[in-house]
Amino acid sequence: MRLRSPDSTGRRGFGGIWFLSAVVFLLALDPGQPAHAYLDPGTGSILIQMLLGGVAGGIVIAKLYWHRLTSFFKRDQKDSEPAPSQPQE
Amino acid sequence: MSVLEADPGSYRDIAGTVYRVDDRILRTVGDGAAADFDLLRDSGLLDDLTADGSLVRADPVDPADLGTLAEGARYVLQHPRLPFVSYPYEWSFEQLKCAALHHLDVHLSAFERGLTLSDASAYNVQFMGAQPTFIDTLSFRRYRDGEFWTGYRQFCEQFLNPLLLRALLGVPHNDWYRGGFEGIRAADLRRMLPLRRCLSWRVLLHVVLHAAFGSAGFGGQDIEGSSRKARRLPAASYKNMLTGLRSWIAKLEPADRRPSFWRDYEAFRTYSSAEAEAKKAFVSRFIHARQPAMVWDIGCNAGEFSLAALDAGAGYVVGWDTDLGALDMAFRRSKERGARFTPLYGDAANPSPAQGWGQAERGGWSERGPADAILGLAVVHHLAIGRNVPLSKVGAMLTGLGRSGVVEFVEKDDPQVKRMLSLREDIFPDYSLAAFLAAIESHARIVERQTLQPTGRTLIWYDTDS
Repeated sequence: MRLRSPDSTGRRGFGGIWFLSAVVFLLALDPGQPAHAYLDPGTGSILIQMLLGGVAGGIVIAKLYWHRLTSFFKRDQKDSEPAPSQPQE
Repeated sequence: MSVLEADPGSYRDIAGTVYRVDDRILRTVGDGAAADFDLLRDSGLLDDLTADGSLVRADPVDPADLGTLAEGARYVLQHPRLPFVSYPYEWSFEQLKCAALHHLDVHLSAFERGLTLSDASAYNVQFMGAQPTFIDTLSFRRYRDGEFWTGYRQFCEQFLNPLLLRALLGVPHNDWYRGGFEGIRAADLRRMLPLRRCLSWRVLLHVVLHAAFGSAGFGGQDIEGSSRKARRLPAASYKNMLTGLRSWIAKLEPADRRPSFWRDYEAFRTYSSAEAEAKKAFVSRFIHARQPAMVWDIGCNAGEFSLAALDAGAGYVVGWDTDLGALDMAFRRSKERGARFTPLYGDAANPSPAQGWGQAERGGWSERGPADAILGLAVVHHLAIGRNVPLSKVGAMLTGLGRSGVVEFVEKDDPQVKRMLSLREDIFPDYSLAAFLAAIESHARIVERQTLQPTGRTLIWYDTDS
């Protein structure tokens, strides 16, 4: 089975399972809250272009998400540890 | 040099500043931007793009024309004054699409000569009639191999996403754009798209992924830490982004296929073609007598009388209407004829405001008027009965927008007005020709009046003293 994008402009064919996986993955990325002023407002557009720029850029993005995932679990682990007792005055 | 004023919209780019000096538009080119301007000129791109009107002319003038303001500027350029400045929230779908394609075409031409554009502001495209022209000479910069397209996000927000809003969801961009001013963010569009609309590679990339990456909380430090190889966009990929977006946008069409009453009005209107001809003859006589450089046609529909005004000798016509189907048709007509007619989305009961920084960056109707002449044909009853605006206020508004004008008054027994009143209570005891004439006469002098047969509609030609 080959899935094609529904509009005539999407000519790139994908193996169905890969395309579906990609769609599920991309849609699972939460657009989240509006970017805050302290963030670089162009970060998203730079990341897209790194992805389009080639494999090296794609690896960076994969690493960023991987790092976020691992730090999430690390933080969870940290939170579950008992807090060190504070010296009493 | 009596009036010297920096354009209130010219502050973002430190490369130079635009000044209005009397009737002249002058632009400084700072030391930092001089090398890029030299490249634009020496590459031949400046001449090529200005020759066919794709780019506004930029002629070097004596820096002394700007006095002390020219200090620190390597060049001072003079641009021709545009007949009218309009904004993307006033453009129909066809116009925004035309402007987007024009921006990409200019960018691709620049790319061929080793230049790129530093931004992708939709406000940098203006219309001469229906012909788009790029107005920011200092957007052109030398392309450095591997650099990112810095204007990509802005292009998406100011061109692509507003077009997709209509093409994918059938929602016109105008009201949102006017409020948001900088366009539509990918994250906002993404939230509205149903799943089936996301199943296109281009939507996934430019909207879904763009929104996800932009809102993920990654910052510049995350990118800086990556390898040099990762931090580059090869020239071929850069060009592919531009050509890919171009071919996509060229095929976009509004998703809503609603019939447009006012687009088809000329075929189905409630008065005869003989009456339309009589109306045209009256308008032509008025235009011929006044020879206005600028006409505003309030409620222009598909531009029938705007074009008649041009034929009669008007210099330029800006048409305002709220029916987007009629505006698209008017735009296509203007384009086909190469007419000096720009139809725009605008509501006389709620015109575009002055907005942006200091509420001065983009002018409202007041800042861009008054026109030399107004056409207000079949519009008074829409304001007085459709929007409950008292006739005295309608008269004041119309006479305030232009130094002279032709307005049409439609009586209550006209089929059009009867239809407007068919589902509502008639709370307009004062709606009468006599009351409207009095409203006009309190601001202007009535030059001529004509009653059209058989409907009994009245045309009124007025002049103000200003």
